[in-house]
Amino acid sequence: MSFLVAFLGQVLHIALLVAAAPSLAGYMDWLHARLTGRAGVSWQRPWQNLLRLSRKQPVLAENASALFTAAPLVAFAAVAAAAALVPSFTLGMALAPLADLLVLVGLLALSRCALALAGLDIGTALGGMGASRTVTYACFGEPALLLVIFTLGLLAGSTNLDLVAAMQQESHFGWQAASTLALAATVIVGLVDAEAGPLRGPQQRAELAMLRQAVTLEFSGYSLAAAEATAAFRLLLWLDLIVALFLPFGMASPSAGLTAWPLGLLAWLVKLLILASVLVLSSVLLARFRLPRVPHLLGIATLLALLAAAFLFASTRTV
Amino acid sequence: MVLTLLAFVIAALAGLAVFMAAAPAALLRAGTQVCAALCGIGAVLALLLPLGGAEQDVLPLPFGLPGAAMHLALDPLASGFLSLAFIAGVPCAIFTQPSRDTRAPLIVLPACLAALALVLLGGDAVTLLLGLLLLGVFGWALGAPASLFLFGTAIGVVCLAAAFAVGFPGGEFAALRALPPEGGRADLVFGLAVIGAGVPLLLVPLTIWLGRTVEHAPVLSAVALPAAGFYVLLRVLFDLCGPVQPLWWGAPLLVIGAAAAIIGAVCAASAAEFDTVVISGGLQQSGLALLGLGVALGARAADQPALASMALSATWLLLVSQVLGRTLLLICAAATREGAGSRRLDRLGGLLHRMSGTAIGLLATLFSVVALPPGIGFAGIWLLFQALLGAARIGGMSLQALLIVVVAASALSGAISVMAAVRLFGVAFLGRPRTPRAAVADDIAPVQRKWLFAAAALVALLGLLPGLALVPVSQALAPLANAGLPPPDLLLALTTGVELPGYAPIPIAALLALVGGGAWWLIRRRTVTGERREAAWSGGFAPPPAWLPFGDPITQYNASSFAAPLQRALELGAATPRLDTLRTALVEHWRSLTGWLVVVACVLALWLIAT
Repeated sequence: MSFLVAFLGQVLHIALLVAAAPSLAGYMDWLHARLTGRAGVSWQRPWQNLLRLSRKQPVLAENASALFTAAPLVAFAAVAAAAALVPSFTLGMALAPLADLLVLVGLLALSRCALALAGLDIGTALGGMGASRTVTYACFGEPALLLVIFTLGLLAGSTNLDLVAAMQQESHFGWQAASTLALAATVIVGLVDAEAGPLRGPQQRAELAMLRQAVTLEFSGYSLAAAEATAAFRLLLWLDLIVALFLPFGMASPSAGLTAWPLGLLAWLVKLLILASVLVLSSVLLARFRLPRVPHLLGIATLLALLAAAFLFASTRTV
Repeated sequence: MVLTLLAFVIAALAGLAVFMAAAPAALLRAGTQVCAALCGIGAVLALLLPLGGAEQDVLPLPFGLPGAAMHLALDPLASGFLSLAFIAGVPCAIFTQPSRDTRAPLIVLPACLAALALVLLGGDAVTLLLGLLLLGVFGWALGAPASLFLFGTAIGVVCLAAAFAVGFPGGEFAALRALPPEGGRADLVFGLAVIGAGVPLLLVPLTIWLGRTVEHAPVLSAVALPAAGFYVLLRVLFDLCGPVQPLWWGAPLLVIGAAAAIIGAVCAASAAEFDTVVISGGLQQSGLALLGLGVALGARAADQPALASMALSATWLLLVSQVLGRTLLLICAAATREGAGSRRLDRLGGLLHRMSGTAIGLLATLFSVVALPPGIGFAGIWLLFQALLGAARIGGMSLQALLIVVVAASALSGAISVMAAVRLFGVAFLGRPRTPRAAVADDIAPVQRKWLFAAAALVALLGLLPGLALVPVSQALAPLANAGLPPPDLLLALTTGVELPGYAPIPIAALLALVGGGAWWLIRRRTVTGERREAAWSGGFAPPPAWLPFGDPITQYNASSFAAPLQRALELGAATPRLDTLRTALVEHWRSLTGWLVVVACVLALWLIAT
């Protein structure tokens, strides 16, 4: 019975994921347009884009190799698989034993590498620039992220995301210094990786200011659809991850069964909308962060994560 | 019985080396095939002990130095390392081509394996040190600078000899084990052994850094030297020094390992040549593996055998990924040099179209070796991270502070090594050819392509079944970790505890395949069939003129521009001139410096033996 519930939860989670990722991107675009004084397009526009692009005949550069067509799919598969592992409205889903935080980091890196290789495949200047920036900035985000995982793993006794989320839930959201600092570090790394908030990519053609978008300039047809879906899933994954790691209130616990699901679903939806709106607000209110300073920002995230680990050690010492 | 057969294999390898030096050119090809067969036989024999088909054994050799009889001894640790070395030796033998210019690689191939087997099976200090010395000599025979390889090896051997003289006066290992050194003597042994084992690990990266060209025979650079270095560390620090050591022994290894991991990764991400990227990446993995040893030493001192066992398993996985992976990468580097005529990344490009076999083998190996799931490199790093997490519970505040820095450093080095892999493959094999020579590159022969794919598939399989890679050392690690029981069954998934979920590569790979396959199926159903080929859009820039057949080569990102953001962010620009000054000084004064070092080490060793 409990397995059935876990399986059902997983299926529902994946269905919600597929429904929510493009819709959330559409909502954020719409809100951004409204807040900057434009009418904005419908929140369904990403869906229409995906359907339109996936129908089109792909146009490839003359020297594109097989890797160029395969890589966007690998990138999408890695991010979508990772997103399927991050709990949204309930803990204890069927794939929860696989949801290791280090595996999630690895899958995100795999997706990034696949896209970077696709960007290098044609041999254009902008593709190379995007690939180089993508993998380089990831180098500086990784230490912060692993230190956060180190801190949370010490608290929970495991790096499994479900166990960490359950631990955070049980500690009654005691906002310790370590947890708060780790949250700040995770938010910065997530912002850079998902290109959200003040790091939101340019909406007009401004290639020199692009991070991962520059990689996809040669994409067309289903490759472009896969790249856009990857970006949408990546953003949702980061929001889900931050919610599961630091704000897991309302999330249904595995023992509560089906009765806790409606509340969990509601809490998840509300948290998602609030976080997405905050992201859009920050991208409207704050100046866009200059790309050469991104390593500094990630350095700050690493320092925050270092402090989080140090605070944790210090607090366990005094008790 | 098995040990006697292994001794015959070693003798046959040594005989093969002599044969390679003397035989007519027509027979050289057959010689490499014999060498591959001998490696296969040796691997099977070495695997008999961990699989339960053989007993521990000691075999006195009929020759030796006066007053010091030489022995071969087969125990679980030796057989584990030996099987890894022989398995990696098979592709080395298959891909060593007879060339018209020199026979050195052909002679060194079996000789190197024989010398490594001598190190691993040596049952006493003399045999082990003789094997190490021979490895240095073979490196010199391959064209490495004599001053570096011979003097460097001499320093390492003298240090190790001093360690043995201080800690374990006389006798074979079996007798030494009963009387481990204590107190200050043990600390001296520790210091000397770390220097002595560090020499084989550092020789090749140091040669590159000093700007000397060296022919990178995979059998020496990727198999023999790393295996010998880690074997000596495990043998001396974990086996011979007994079960009781001070806690601080782990700290130097953690510091050295973190530094090596960062330096290796940064060098790999900014190197200009294919081989240098591979060798520097090997230094990075050695650094990570040293971190595992450091944690294991600390855990032993804190009486946490399960943690020590986990850390040692992580070290072994990283070592397997380093030895097998770097062997294949060096083979791909040699194939690229042969096929495309250059080892400089900036003279390659677009090789995927002309060298598809090498490209597939290289890409599969690179993704297995670096920290990307579901490869063996990721499995090793996952286990290492869990070990670091466990180590945070054993020590005081100072150890914890060190651990935080080590975690950040290993994460940075892992991410930079991923970047180095993308840069290596992307610049050399993707994009457009940067030179006319690269545009007419030739792939490896179809037979070799099959072998390369098989070897890459083995590495990928070990990533999916990390427990398979731990089989050769299944009996060896538990006693080294002071654990009474063998470690838990990790065949399908790596776990940290009985009830805890761990890392299961096969379901992760299945999930990836399912999602990717599903997306592919959806697209195939919807998309208009066929594809249209056009000139690259390139952000709207004008197409190159007709007299540039491969487009404008300058507009393409190359090796140095790809690394530029990293170098800017790490502010390496300011450090480079100082490093260059240091390097120039070292190259100029290397000979006298090493001479003095050897003299000092010899005097020290004599004094120690005399007292």
